[in-house]
Amino acid sequence: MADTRLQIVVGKGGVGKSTVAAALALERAARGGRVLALELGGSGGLARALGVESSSDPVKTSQAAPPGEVYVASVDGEAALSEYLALLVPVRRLLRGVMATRFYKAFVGAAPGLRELMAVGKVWYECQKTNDDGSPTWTTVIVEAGATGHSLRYLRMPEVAARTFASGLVHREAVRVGDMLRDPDYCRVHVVALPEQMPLSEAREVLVALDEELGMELGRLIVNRCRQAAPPAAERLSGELATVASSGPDGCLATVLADLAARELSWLAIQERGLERIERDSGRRVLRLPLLVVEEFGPAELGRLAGVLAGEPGVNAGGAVSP
Amino acid sequence: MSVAGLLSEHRVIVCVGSGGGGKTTIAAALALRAAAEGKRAMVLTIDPARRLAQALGLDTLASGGQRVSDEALAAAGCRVSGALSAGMLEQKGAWDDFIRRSAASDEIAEAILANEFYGHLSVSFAGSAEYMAVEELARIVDSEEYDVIVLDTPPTAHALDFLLAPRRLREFLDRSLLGWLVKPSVAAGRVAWKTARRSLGYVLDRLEEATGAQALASIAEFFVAMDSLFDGVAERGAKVSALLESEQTAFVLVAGPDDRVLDESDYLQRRMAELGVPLRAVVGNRLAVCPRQPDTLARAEAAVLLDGMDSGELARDWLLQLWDDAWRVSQGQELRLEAFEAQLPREVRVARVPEMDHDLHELSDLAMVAAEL
Repeated sequence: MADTRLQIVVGKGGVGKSTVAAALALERAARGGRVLALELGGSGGLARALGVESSSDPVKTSQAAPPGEVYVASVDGEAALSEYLALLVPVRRLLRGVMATRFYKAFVGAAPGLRELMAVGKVWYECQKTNDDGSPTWTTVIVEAGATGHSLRYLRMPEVAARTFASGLVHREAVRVGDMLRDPDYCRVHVVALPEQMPLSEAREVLVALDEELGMELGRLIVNRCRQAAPPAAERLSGELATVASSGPDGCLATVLADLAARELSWLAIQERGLERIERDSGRRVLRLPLLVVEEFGPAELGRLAGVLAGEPGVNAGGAVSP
Repeated sequence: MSVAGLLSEHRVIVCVGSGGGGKTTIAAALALRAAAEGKRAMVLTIDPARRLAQALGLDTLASGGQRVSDEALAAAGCRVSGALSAGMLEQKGAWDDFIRRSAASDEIAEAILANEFYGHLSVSFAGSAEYMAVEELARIVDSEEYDVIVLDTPPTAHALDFLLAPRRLREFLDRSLLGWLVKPSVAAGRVAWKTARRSLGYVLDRLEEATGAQALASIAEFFVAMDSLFDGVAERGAKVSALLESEQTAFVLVAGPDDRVLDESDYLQRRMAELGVPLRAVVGNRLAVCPRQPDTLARAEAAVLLDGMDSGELARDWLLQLWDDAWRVSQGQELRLEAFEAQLPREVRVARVPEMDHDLHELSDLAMVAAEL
C-alpha cells in the first residue's frame, strides 16, 4: 500500500482505534521512520497505548525499535486556536484579556467546526514541518481521529468551514487543508472495525462516505480482534458434546463445554460472514488483526500487532467454519 | 436492588457511556422491561441504529416515536401488559421543530430557519445533538404520554461528556452574547467591561479578516432573530436542568468490559457530583462468559471427558484453549468490576450482563438482556 506522509485512523468507539494507530506507528518506525502519532479530540488512549503521558508537545516513546522513533502528542482544537490567534493578535496582554471573555469561549465552542478545523490545521502544520536542512521533520504522521464516534466530523470540517466562511483567511486555510486530505499520494485513511455485524456495517458506511462524499483514499481496511479459525473437527466435537449434554443433568460439565464450543462457533460464523460480505461489497481485502487473550494488554501485544501489520502471520482465516 | 428496580422509582432513565459499550441495547432492554411491568415506556435513541429498529419490528425509528406492535412482542415471547414505543432523534428536524415551537411568530421562525449560520449550528455544531436530545426528552416528559422514558445518549469520548454538552450550548445561546456580536463598539458602563470590549472590537476586526465579513454578518443576524427566543430558551434550559437533577431522573452508566471508565471511579463520581446528577446504577455489559466450574479439577475432568470424544486431539486442544481463555478473561473482568464497585457508594446498583452468543437480532434477544438487569 502507499506509504503516505499522513495516515488517518478512523472507526467507531470501542473498536480499538488507539491500539491500531499505535501499532501502525510502531510498524512504520520499525522500517526506520521518524513517526509522529497524533490523537485528535483526545481521551489519551493513544498515549496510554504507547506508554507515555498524554501531552500536546510530542513525547518520545521507548517502545519503538531503534533507529526508528515514535513521538506521541494530543491535539486540542481549542489550544490550536489559541496558537493560531496568537499569530493574528500579536499583543500578548490583549490576547489574554480577550481569551478570558465569555464571548471568546462561547464563540470558540460554537462557531461551527472551528475547533475541529483548527485541530486538522495543526495536523497539516505537523505534516509540513521541516528540519533546518529542509527535510521533513516526520517521515509519517499517524492520526487517530476523534474518540467521539464521529471520526468523520474532523474529515468533513475543511469542507464545512470553507462553506461557512466564504472568504477570508479561514476559507483559504480550509481549502488548503481539504486539498491535502484529498491527495491520495499524501494522505490515506485506515478504517478500523470489529468482526461483528454492526461495526462492520458501520465500517462499510465509512468506506462509502470516504469514496463518494469526502473523496479521500482508503489505506487499509483493518478488522481488529479477529478470532482464530477453529480446527476442522470443531463442529463435530460441538455436536458430540451437545448430545452428551442433553442426556446429562443441567449445568454438568458436558453442558458447559458444549456451550463454550457453540458460542465460539457462533461468533466465528458471524465473523466469517461479515468479513466475506464487506470484502465483496467494498472490493477491498480485509487485514485481520488477531484477538489476543492476555491478562493485560501491553508492549509485547502491541509489538505482535505491529508484526501482523508488517506482514507476519496473524490469524489463520477460513478453516472449518461453515458459512 | 436491581437496576430494573429503578424503573418503578424514576420517570426518566438516562443511559450514559462512551461508544461501544452497548448503551442502545441496554436502553431498549430497560424500556422493554418497563413495558413488561405494565408501564407505558418509551426508548429514545440518537444513534441511527437500524438494527435496533429491526429488532423492535419497526422499519425505521420515527422521530416522534412509534409503538411496537403487540404481535411482535407476543411473537418474541414477551408478555407486555404496558406498551413499548421507540423513537429516534433526528437532529436537524428536532432543531427546526424547536425553533418553530419557540419563535414568537412564523416570520421570525422562517428567518432563523433560513439563516446560514443556523444551518451549520443545527447540523455540525459540537453539542447540538446532545442539547436537542435533552430538549426532546423534556418535551416528551411534558406530554405525559409515557410513564417511563429511557434516553440513549450519543457516544462520547468520555462517559460523562454528554452532560456537559447542553450546558455549553446554553451558555452560547445566552442573551448577553448578543451585545458582543451585534454592537461590539458600544461602550458598556463599567470600566472593566469597557477595556474588554475595546480589545474585543479589535479581535472582531481580526476575526472578520479571518472569517470574511459575510460569516460574521450571518452570525450576527442569527442572534438578532434569536433575540425573541432567548427568554424561552433560557427558561426551557433551566427547566430541563431541573428535570435532570431531580429525583425523577436516574443516570445509568453503561460500560463494556474494556471501558476505561472502570478504572476511573473517583473521576466519575467527582464529575457527577459537580454536575449535580447522582449516579444510580452501573451496567457492566458484554462480559465474558466463564465456564461454570473453573477450578483445576474441573479442567482436568473436562480434559478426560474430551478424550472420550471421537473428534480428535486438535478439536480437544482447541476447546481446552477456549476454556482457559474464557476463564482468564472473565476473571480479569470480574476483578476489575469488583474493584470499581467497591469504590462506588453503596446505593449505586450494579448489574452484570453477559455477552450473548450472537449479535442482537430480535426482541427475544432484548428480552434476554432485560432479564439480566
